[in-house]
Amino acid sequence: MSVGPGYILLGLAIVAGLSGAFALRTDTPDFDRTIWVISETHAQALKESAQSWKARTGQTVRIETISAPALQMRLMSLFLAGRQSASIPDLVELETGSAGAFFRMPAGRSPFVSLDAYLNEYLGRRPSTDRLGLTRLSLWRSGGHLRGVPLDCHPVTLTYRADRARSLGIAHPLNSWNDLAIAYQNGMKLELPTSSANVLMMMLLQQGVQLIDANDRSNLTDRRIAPTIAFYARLAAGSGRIGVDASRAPGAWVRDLVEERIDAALTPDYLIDELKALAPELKGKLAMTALPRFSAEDRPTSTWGGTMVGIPESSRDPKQAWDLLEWLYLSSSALAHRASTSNVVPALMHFEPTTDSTDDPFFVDTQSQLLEDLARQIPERRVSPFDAVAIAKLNGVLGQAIDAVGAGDDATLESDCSDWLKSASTSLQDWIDFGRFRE
Amino acid sequence: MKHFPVGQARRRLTPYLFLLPYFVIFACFQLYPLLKSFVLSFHRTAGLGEAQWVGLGNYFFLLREPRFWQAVANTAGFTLAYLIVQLPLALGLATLLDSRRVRGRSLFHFAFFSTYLVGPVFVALIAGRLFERHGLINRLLSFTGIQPDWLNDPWLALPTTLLASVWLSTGFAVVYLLAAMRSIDPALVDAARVDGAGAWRRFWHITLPGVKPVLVFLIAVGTVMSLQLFELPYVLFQGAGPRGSALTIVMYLFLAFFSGDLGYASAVGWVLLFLIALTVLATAWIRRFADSERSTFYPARLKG
Repeated sequence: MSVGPGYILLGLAIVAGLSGAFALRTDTPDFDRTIWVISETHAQALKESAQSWKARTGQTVRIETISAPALQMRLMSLFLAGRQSASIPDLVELETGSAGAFFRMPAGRSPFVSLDAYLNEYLGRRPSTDRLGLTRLSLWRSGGHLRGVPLDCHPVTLTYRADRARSLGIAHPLNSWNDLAIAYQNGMKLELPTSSANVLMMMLLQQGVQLIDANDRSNLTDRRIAPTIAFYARLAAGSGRIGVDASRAPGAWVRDLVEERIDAALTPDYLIDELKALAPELKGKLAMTALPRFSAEDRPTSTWGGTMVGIPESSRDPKQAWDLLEWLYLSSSALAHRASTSNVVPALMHFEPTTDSTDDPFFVDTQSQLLEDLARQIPERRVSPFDAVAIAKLNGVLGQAIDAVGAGDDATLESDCSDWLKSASTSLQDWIDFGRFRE
Repeated sequence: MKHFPVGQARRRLTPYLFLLPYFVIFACFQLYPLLKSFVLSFHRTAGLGEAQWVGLGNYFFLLREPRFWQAVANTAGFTLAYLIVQLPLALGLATLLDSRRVRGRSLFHFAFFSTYLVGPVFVALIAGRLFERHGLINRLLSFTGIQPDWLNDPWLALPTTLLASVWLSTGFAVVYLLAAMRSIDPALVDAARVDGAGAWRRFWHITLPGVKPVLVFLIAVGTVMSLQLFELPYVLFQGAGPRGSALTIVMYLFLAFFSGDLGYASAVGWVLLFLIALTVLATAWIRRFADSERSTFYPARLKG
């Protein structure tokens, strides 16, 4: 029987397919537990604890680093695949920006295990735990249940060029935002983005304002928002402006600080590591202080970003996953390790001193305990699936206010902001009503 | 009952056997998701297991959602500007590179095409550095006294995206146009030259008609690529840009998907597909019109 070229090609295709399948066959040994983390720093911090976990229990742990957007995509695919998926992780880290998508489900069908009972039992067993970020728990609640253990608090400070402030005769700390607006007229430049509402949001959180309330109602008409936007717009545009936009490329804001294009910025704690890494020449020139306030009731800090670690509902054994979580993230050695290797303040820590008692030489005039003190006072923050829409609406109103100030048309700015916010609020509520998943 | 000999049956089956692997892959990974997304677009979802029927609700909401229309306006504006800027530029560069008087043409080929090889994400990262307020572009412009804030000014978001996009893809168009120019019969050009036709007349009456099919192809590809614009502005502005001025339809779809409502995201996808289909039909119509007797694009004497 003669073999035609078609059969040869078919044979080659089969051989190629089988070879590909063989090559893709993983040689990595099976692990007993799997964790998905969002950064290599997190993975490195967990490695030591993972080894001691193996020595203690005999279980091997695979730590996979996946960038936050990719992790969200993978997690969504995992939840879509349901319980049958072969690669279900035992623990997953999640950022605030991603959490809303997973908090859409009705309470009884959340993709993450409720951790209230586990955490309460842990805190009861460990009375010496310093619950720095207790308000932080609200961030990771959905349907009345805690879906993740907060890893950080991310208190926000005002970081400024102390040398510039001295030469301009500006004394910190400044107690109110009004004081700052007046003092900085001397030529001190504060980073205030004109095209994003991130700093504005920090100012609003400081006052306890949430854009969406706990009952999923738009809160854009809160009486504190319009004056804050008007105040911000006048700082960022017009004749009395003290604000400047920082460069947009990742890390470029540090160069702006070095080259005195900006003199001060609102910095969540995770940016301090970035500062130290990218601008060693600023050592001894920077200072950190609590945020000025709008009124006496405001917090002296705010918060921005955050990470949780949770247990997927489809995890093989949630109890064992919790034991692993406790060992890797909440044991004394793990907490101490995290506190000593980064400036990021953990949400839970122990009373044992975890930070050096001397002041950080990178900063001048700064108390070493400032970040921890502020972490105890961070404002409450919640996550909603509609956060992105709410911030986009806020951004739109901020843009209108900045344009009005820039054009000198700001005599009635506060009431104009109220009108714009009313319209934005209606639109946001429309979104929420449309997108809310009903029981 | 009619019986086929075994050999004949095998001959009939063979082509289908060869088509089978592709069809199976197509059915599993393209056709099924496509149909599933169509069904999903009529639901509100929170994961595939959690879906509620909303009929045409997603589509109706989409049509009254201001940000969606902002994305449509941005995408349409970009598409139009992209075609207006990129095609003449590519045509000009290809004409220059086609000239024997230009030395080092291979080097220029490589230089123009290299951005296309590295892809939009890399180009966006580099462009982000170049267009920074204190980046190279503004340093070059410093003697004019103009210092645009390319990445923060809402009015400059689309021009910045356009410049980066033209930088990315003009080389691709140049390669196609150059190949088309080189396939034009040199005898035609020589004859025109002997007849006293100048460079401009030769370009208008010989080169342009000669590359017309490639131009139509580039318009179609450029339009579809523009409608699918995503990575470049997303990386350049790290999101939708100042006040959403760099928001495109695909970015809107991406954000809808990431909010966890796959039903709404599917509806956006189907509207995008509809827009692309309309564009393809319009391009086909333009091509037919250009080929018709009414068209003055071709001088009559050059028609075959």
